Amino acid sequence: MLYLAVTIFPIIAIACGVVSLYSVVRFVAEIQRDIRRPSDPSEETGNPK
Amino acid sequence: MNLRAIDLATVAGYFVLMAFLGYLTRRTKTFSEFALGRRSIPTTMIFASLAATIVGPGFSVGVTSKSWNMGFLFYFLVVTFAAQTLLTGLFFGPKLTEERDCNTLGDVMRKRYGRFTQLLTGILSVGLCIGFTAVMGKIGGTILHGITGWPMLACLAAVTGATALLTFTGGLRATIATEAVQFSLKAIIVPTMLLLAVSKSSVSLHDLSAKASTLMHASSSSMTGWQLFGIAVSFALGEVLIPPYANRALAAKSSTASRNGFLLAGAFIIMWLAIVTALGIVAHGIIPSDTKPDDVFVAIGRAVLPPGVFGLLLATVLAIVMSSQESVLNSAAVAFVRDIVSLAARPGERATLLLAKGSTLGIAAVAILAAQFSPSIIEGLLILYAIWAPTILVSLIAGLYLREVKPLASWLSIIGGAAASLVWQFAKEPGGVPAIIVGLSASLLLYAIGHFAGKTLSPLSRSALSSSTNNVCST
Repeated sequence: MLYLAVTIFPIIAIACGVVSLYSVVRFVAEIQRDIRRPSDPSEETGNPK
Repeated sequence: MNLRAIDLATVAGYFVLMAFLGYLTRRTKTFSEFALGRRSIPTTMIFASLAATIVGPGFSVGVTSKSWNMGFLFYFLVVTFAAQTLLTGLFFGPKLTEERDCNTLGDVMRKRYGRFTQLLTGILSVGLCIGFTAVMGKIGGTILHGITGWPMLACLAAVTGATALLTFTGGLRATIATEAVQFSLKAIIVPTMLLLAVSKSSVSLHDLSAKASTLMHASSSSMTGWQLFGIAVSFALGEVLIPPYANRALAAKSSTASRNGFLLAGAFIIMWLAIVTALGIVAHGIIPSDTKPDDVFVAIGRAVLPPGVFGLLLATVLAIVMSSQESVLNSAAVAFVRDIVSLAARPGERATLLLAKGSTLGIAAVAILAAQFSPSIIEGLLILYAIWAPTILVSLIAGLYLREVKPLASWLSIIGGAAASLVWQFAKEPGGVPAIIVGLSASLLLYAIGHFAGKTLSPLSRSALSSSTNNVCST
């Protein structure tokens, strides 16, 4: 178990961290697009159009 | 703790990065967006945010401190948590994602059992989340106190307050974005620290493995079977579908995203727990043997990481605390508004959103005060686990899977399970039988009694409950 934990697992974990960083950049870009999009008044009041 | 300027600058840089991310993700227009981020969260973000929430102080600093004295024994007890996450991904997570008209667990319970069960679920959700925030905040406050020397209350307020400020503006999507960055930080820094520790250890891997085996046998023979079973069950069931995890399932863009997110998080946790356990074992070749167990994690970092990178480890530890707190605070605020306030009053959309944001700050303030009375991390978590599982779990799972459910069953199960677990804890767990097992058994038995003795909701009330959920959640 110790051998696995000090060889393969750290490398996979680091790869997960890198993939997550890439995903968060895309996710934040998507949120930014949403923020810049003109707002729909019906969304904020909760009333249907 | 004496720190170099470069390490302090790195910690400060982390807070600046978090503030910038908070600014980028700041705006939320509706309560539903605040609570569930438009139900559009993809697999990778569900995975990163779940893993970030799960890897709190207990599953990092706590596990390393235990493995320092227990070898891999504690790993085999806590890895039951990963098994639970995998099972949640296969069964309960996708089932919750199908509830597209619900914002909270309370909403799901109301559709099955009525408003009183929603209120009980809301009270338990908010109480549990305050407890989690307090336990996590105490760890973060202690670390900040060690770095800065500021008074403890100021450190508790700085960590939990900063988390609350990040959470209250942008809601769930902001929480998930910051959690994913925090996840990346810990997933890169901690394994790197382990690899460096192995390369610098004065003891060979073969000898460390023998040491781990000796520690494991010594500690397992010093504990009773009930104690070992109790810890394993607590970690397996104590956090099943607690509000932050349930919110991830409800916010996923599809059942597939929910299932895959939970499965990836479960698989990651299996590896992560092995990594932080190995850190505690490899530490025997790096740091003095009289080091306090709670200090082992940071002590290894100080011994093996170069200046600047050690500051990054401290930032990582703060990220570990803050990432767990963020999702818990967001869930608590949403549960407070949806499951408690909305039962008494129906504020408009804008007022509901403002209330949710204000509740985030209010709940953080209560947690800061509670943190001063919080026990150590693992003890604190085990107490919280012994409350959640015996109260909500049976009714929730039965509600998701049984065709016909009775409100009486949920009331008896929730109230009776809580009472049994609390009484057993106050009686100091007679015979060494853990409170979570007694509480869960009582909850299951009372649910069965209520199921056979109670009446189902009338079709009229069921339709009214369903439509009231739709009215509020359809935004």
